[in-house]
Amino acid sequence: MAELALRIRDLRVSFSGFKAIDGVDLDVEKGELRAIIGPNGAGKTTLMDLITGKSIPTGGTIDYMGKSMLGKSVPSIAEKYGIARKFQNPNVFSRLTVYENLYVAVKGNKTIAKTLSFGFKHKKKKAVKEYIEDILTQVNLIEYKDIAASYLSHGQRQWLEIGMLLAQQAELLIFDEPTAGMTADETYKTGELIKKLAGTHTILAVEHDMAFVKQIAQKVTVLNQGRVLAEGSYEEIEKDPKVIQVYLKEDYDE
Amino acid sequence: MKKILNIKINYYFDALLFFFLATFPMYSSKFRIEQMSRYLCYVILIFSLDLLWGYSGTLSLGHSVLFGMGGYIYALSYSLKDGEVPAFMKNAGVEEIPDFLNALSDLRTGIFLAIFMPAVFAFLIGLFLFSSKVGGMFFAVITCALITLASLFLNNQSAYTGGANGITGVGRFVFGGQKLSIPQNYYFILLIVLLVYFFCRWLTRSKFGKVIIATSENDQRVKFLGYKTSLFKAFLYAISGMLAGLAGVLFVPVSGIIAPTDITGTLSTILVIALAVGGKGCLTGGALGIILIEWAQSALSESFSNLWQLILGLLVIFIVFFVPEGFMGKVLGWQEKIVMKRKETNNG
Ligand SMILES: Nc1ncnc2c1ncn2[C@@H]1O[C@H](COP(=O)(O)OP(=O)(O)OP(=O)(O)O)[C@@H](O)[C@H]1O
Ligand SMILES: [Mg+2]
Repeated sequence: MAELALRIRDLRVSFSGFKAIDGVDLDVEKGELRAIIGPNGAGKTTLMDLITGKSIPTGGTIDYMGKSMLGKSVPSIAEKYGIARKFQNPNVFSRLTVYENLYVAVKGNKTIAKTLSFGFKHKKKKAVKEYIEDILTQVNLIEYKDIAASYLSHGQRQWLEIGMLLAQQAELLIFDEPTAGMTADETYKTGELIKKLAGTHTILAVEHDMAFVKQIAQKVTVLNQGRVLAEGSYEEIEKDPKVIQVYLKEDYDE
Repeated sequence: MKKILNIKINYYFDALLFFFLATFPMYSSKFRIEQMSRYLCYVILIFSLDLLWGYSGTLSLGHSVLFGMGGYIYALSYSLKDGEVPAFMKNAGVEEIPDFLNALSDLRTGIFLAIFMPAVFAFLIGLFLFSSKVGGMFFAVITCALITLASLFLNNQSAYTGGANGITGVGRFVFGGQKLSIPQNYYFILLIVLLVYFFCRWLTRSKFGKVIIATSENDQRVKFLGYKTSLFKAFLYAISGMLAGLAGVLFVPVSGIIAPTDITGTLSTILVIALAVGGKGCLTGGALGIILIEWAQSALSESFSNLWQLILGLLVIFIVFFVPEGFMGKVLGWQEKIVMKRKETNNG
């Protein structure tokens, strides 16, 4: 059996009495690509908030690579433990150039003193530059290198943010609806990129787009009302009556 | 040609401005030189405000307090330097220099503290405000309240601050036993302005600067990249406080006096207006803004003081509605559009 990367037990959080996450257990193996689906308000984003330290659980445990993440700060979980997160809406910095967006994301040198160092280490700087340009090529943004990110299209911003995730050199990548607002072609390319990253990275991908889930998923976890409703391969999930009911009900509501 | 177009246009403005400032004393009266010396101090002050508001997006409405802190500490140190009890203290019944002021009797320590104390003060306030989850508006209100606190303090402690009269009789800097003349003092300040300018350019182009700009857009996201953003912003506020203190130190020998009105008056507001009108986040806009506004103020208020207030008010309304990015911001926007167009035609 492969090594366990993420181990969550009986996780709970409530916001003024409302149980957004209500006893979630989740095991994710190292190198696994896990899709997380569920209707609106199921608690998917909240679960990611808990893992990354943005929200504090009211109960339960979160262990990553055998270490408890409880009580760790957001910057420390990101930089020290290597958990990187892409948000639901693209959150790139539009006042910075595409290159600079990656520059602030690159792993290392994140203390005040290091960000102020006078660039004595020229060799290292060159290595960073090449590294960033390599990522820019991977996400098809190399021509836009010196352009302010505000000029990018929606899809390009999503790609830039994926690039930032890569630059962080994290082990665990969390994607919250990475394809929102992308064209079908961009969505497919994103799927292929994420698949390529699996194995060397552990990946959690929250998605609504079922075709996309089908494209990428090795294993799917379905959340509903703050609980795990079902877990299994895409085919198993697709046939699960409980899952069908939740999704049908949602369609009915709309 | 392409290279020249790619250089940010405000750098040309900077070069012109420094050329103008360097030649200014050659054709100006002593009165005007002294006046411009004062504006130069405000330029340092507005750079320090721009670091905060323009780059990190946090508006400080009480920046004159940090400026005043530097000015007062320096003035106090200057009046204590001969080891005698200064007149304003005697009048308040102080017979002997109290122990806690002993350190100030050395002018060099005085200068150090005048720059260091505002930095520490700003850092502590920044740490408190940025790590509690209050918004930018709250920061503006708190810094505004600092003005009231400062004025209370100055009046309560009048034995050491000179009360409403302030501390007077501060002379210009002395180098090698020689007191600087008005033009010499001007060039001395100009040199420091230049150094501060390069320092700010370096700072904002460093990785630290990029992180700060990023926090102005989305603080949360920067945290998720692994940066302790509240520490970064508090540190920036400290640098800003340090520069404001420095501006205060340079200001007092020019005006010869520091009084509560220098802090509690309109200075903070004028700074914010000048930065908004000139364009924040590029250093150039603030420098142009404060020099022009101060100059217009003195030119107009010498004859019609009420008219000036009206013009200033209208100017603010005009800027807020029609050019929210300020003069320099607008010009930089034009340049960026032209550069983008060229890139597109080159690619297509
Ligand atoms: N910080 C918070 N304060 C109060 N309520 C919250 C908070 N965060 C989430 N919630 C609530 O928790 C529930 C789950 O929200 P969450 O954003 O996790 O859903 P989701 O599964 O990501 O939905 P979507 O598919 O729409 O993104 C929602 O009802 C939401 O209103
Ligand atoms: Mg969500």
